[in-house]
Amino acid sequence: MIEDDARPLLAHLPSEFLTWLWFVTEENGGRMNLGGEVGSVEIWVDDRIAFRSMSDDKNRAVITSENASSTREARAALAAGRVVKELRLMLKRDDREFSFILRGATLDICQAKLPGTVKNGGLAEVLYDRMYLYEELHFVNAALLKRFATERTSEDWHEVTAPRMRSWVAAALAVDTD
Amino acid sequence: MGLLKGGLTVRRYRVEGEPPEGFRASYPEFLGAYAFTEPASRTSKQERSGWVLSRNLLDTDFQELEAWLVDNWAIFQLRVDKKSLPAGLFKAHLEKRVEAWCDEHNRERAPKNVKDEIKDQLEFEWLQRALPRVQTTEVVWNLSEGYVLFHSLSTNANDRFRKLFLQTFGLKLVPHNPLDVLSESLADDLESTGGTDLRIEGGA
Repeated sequence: MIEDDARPLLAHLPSEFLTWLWFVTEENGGRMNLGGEVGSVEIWVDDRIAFRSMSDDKNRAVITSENASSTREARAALAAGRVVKELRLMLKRDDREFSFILRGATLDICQAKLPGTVKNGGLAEVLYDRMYLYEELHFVNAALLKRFATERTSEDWHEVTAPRMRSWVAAALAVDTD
Repeated sequence: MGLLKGGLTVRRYRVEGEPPEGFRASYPEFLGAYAFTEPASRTSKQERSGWVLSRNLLDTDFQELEAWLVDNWAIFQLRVDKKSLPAGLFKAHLEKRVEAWCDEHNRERAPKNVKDEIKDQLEFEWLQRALPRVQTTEVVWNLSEGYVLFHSLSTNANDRFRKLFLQTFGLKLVPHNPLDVLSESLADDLESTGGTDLRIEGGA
C-alpha cells in the first residue's frame, strides 16, 4: 500500500458522520436545507446499513431490507457499540434522484445510480452528463459533511445532539419491546 | 458498470501539480509510452499493465486526441493482464506425467530434476494455450480542476494505478480526504473531538 503524506482521517469521524446523517434524516423526515448553493434536499437511508466494531474495520453486521433504518436490529447494533461503516442513501434534489452508498474511512461513493438523462449519446455527451451528476453528488455530500462538522464542534453537541441521538436509539428499542 | 454506464464506484484523487501548457502534444506520447503491450512470449506468467482507450481495450493509439480527450476531461482505462493456471488441475496432470515417466523407466520415484523438468514442460504447454485474465478499470481526469476518479476501491488496483500515473505524467495523486472540503480551522476542531458513545446499558 502506498504511504501518503496527507493526514489520515480519524477513524471515529466517518462513522459518526454516517450515524448523525441517519439520525437527522429520520428526525427531519428526510428534508434538509443545507443553505448556500446547495439549498434543500431530501435524503433518507435506503436498504443497507453495515456496521463494524469500534476496534476494527471488518463488517460485523449488515442490515439489508426495505426499511433497514427502522429495524430493531439496526438500532440494537448501535446500542451494543457497533459503529456505522456504510449506508445506502437516497438523495433527491429538485427532480433528480440519486441512490448511492457512502463507505468507509474515506467516505467513498459506491454503486451510485445517477439520474442520467443521456442514454445513447456519444462519448462527450455521456461523459458531461455523468460527470455533472457525479459532481452534484460530491457537492451535496460535502455540504452534509460541513453541516455535521459545524454541529459536531458546537457546544450543543454534548448537551443537545448526543443525548437526542441516544434517546433515538433507545426509543426504537423500547417501542419494539412494548 | 463504469464511469460512463451503470453504477459508479470511485476513488477520488487530487492531482498534485498541473499539466504543462503543451500537454496536448506531449500527453499522447506519454500515454503511448506506457500503453498496454502484448507480452513477447505467450508463456509469460508475469502480470502486465498499461493504458488503453476507453472505447475498446484493444485500442492503444493515443495520437488521436478525440479518442481520449473531451474538452477538459481525459478518459482512458488501465488494463492489467495475468496468466494463471488452475492449480488443482495442473497438479493432477503433473502427477500423471510423473507416474508415466516412472512406468517408462521402471523406477519407483522420479528424481527431483526430472520432476522439475516435467513441471516446466507442462507449464510451458499450458501457458501457450491459456488466455490471460484481463481486467480494465476506467480513469477520468478533470484537467482543469485537478482531480481524478478511478473506478475501483481495491487497494492493489489503486496502488498500481497511482504508480503508473506518476510514471506516465510525473504527477502525484493524493487520495481525497473528506476533511478537504472543510476550512482548516473547522477540520482541526473536528479532529480534536473524541468519539461519541451511543451505547445503551443492556443494548442488543
